[in-house]
Amino acid sequence: MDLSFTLRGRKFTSVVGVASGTFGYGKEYEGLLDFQCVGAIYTKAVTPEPRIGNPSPRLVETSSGLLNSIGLANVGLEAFIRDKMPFLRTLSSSVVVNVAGAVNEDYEKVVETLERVDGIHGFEINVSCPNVRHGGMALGTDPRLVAKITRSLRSRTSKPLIIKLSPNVTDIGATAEAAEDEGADAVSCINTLVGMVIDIRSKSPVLPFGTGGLSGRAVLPVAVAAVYKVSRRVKIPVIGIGGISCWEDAIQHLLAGAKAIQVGSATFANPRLAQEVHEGILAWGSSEGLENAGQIGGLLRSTLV
Amino acid sequence: MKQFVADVLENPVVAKDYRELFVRWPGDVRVPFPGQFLSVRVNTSSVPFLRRPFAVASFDKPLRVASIIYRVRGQGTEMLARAQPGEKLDFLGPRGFYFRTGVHRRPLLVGGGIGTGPIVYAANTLAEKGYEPLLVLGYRNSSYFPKLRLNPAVRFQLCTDDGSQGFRGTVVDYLSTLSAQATLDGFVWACGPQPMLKATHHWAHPRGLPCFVSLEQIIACGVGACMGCTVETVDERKFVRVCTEGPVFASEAVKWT
Repeated sequence: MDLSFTLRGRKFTSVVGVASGTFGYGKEYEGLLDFQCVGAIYTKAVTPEPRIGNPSPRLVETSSGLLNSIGLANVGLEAFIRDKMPFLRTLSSSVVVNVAGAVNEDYEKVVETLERVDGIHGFEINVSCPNVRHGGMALGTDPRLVAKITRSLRSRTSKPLIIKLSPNVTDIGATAEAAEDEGADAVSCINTLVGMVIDIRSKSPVLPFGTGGLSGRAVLPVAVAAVYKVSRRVKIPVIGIGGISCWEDAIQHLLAGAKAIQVGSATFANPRLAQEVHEGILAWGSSEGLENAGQIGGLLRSTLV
Repeated sequence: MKQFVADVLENPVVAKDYRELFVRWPGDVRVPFPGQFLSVRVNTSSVPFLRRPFAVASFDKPLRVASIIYRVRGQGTEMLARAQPGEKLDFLGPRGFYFRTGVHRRPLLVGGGIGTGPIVYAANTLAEKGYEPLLVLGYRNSSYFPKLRLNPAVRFQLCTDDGSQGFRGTVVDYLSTLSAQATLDGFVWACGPQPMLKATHHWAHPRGLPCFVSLEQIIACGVGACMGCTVETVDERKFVRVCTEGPVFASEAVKWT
């Protein structure tokens, strides 16, 4: 079975990618899995300047999940190009740079600069980070702002442009449509869900800013529902993210309508997860008699009334 | 660093709330340095969601047996406590910036509680290298003091808060009884609860003794990717990752709160 997929005429060798923020800049997982099975590496978010991130603690484990408040800690655009790209270029995986910022100009600067850098396959625009005060989720929950930034970035790149959607909205389809209307090549969903954990002994939230972003197995049904909903609202491909801990979870995303998927925080427990998901989809697809992964969505038997 | 499966050999209780897990170390995984940690996947389901990091407590080179000493507290360690001889466990490691010797010759090693394992491993490793480390371990009372296997060259001092065994008082109370002569050419390595580390730093720093501490933080990826396990520093780095820049840090770089 053919597991490749194509965006804007650019081919990814597998529908399986690794989600931004969970795989660093690739090098961190060198030797721990077969990169041939990783179709795309969505990098740690890149902002124009380096960011030190949020105060500690940044993590709380939850039931089958993880609440984080990293705050887009990253090396910045210049160091990304100088220190991180050389290794990424050696891989067969496509490099999709996750782009973040505080204002639209930040996103524009990162995309404009990286448009001319070798080895970058496309961009995933992070308009849905719940852990920063400016930009991030504030941008991604308003369809008009999503439209504006998509239009601006579309004019700056000929590479695949993916808008990463926030689930923290009443109508995720509306933000997806805004991205599609302004020329996005795909939408990825979902980013993390806003959550809070309170320590009952200290009677205060565990994370310094109170809330964080929830990921992990716990969010799988929310993500599958979002993929299902969005893939029926837009014609551009949907890339499913959220809660994938095994290949069966990935099949749920694909049946819901995703054309590709990203594995995220479950990689922390199982560094080989992306490889196992790639191999699992391949075996399952072959047993179903499929020729390519794109056929999976058509298999969903909808009995919705 | 590698991901590997190791056989559980023993998992006995070694003190109140504490166990020591012994595993057969695979031939193709390098010997861990003192202060380095392993991340254990205690369950293959999504509960608990993360691996659990533990610093190595012993390594028997001829037998290739490694151990970790852990406190049974919470979901992950309760599952680990049920691991039986013959079971296989998934490890990631060894990993992290470890305790390194410098020009000073007199090791003063301080630990207690969850820090017992790594500091005992450090003491034994130094003894094998020809040092004569002073190992000072502190506990609330003697019931928390685990059975240890110490190299004869290690000079050992036990401290208990209630005086139930050894010196009555904290490790720093004990250190303060040492003469200037006893700390001459000294360096300090410490691993234990945060208040113990902070007090050890404040004891060592004014005496001009180089001091390294092993810090704890919740770790998600354990490979340097997620930026989750940071602690604050007083230098220009501002935040550093326990799993990559640490877990061992120069105590003067740590922002003590």
